[in-house]
Amino acid sequence: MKTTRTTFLAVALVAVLGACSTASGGESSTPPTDADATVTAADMAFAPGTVTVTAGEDFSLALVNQDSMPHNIAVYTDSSKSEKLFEGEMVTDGTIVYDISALEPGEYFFDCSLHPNMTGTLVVQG
Amino acid sequence: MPQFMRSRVAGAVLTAAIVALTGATAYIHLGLGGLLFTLNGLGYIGLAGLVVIGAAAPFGVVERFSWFPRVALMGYTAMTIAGYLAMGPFFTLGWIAKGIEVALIVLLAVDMVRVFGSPMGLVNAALASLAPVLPSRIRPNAA
Repeated sequence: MKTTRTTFLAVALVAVLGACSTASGGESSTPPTDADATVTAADMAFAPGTVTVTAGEDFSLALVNQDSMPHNIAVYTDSSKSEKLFEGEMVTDGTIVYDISALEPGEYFFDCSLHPNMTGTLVVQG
Repeated sequence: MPQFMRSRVAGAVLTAAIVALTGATAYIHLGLGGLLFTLNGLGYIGLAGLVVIGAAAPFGVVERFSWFPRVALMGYTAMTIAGYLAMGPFFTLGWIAKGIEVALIVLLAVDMVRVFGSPMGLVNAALASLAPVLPSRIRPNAA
């Protein structure tokens, strides 16, 4: 009886550990090629730190998340984050393409809503 | 309160459910990365540990302070929910975690009523456990 219980606990432990290791896998998806700009999230940082798009027209911004935790991109007028211009949906271990409305020329601040230490600059060129 | 709720089996099931929900929200928070979420997840694990200790060793000082893990976990969970509602960001996994946490608070409330009978019973148990260090005017059963 004791052996049966021990075996059951061992099997359950292996199953739980297996599920955890599967859930934390961090393989990335293929980056899209048709977005106007692409940002990669890896090791809790955005790369490149600065992306450039064209002013006066709607644009697409791809986020390739290579981390196992969810990330998104939120765009603000500046690093004070007083005015949010766009907040994208979270993506975990994959790629998402955001469609963002046209912006005036200038430099904008972006970060991850969950991880404010992940930041970057969006340059909108006229 | 139904009689079966006072049984050891009901207590064990409730404790297991509380630990499971606490583990689930801890797992979600640890998976989010970042210092704040990691600390939050570790806090849940620590409190789940206290709940388990309280259930595994219901005697002596552990039993005397059995109100503490329950109250601490309920307060911690409520603060986590409030912090999320105040700061966001709002996304599916966040709401799943909040659903788990609301269920956790409900189970903790049921467990407290099961053990202490009422909120006043809980307060009395807490005061009684702290009696040696309380001023005599608020000490339970003070003359």
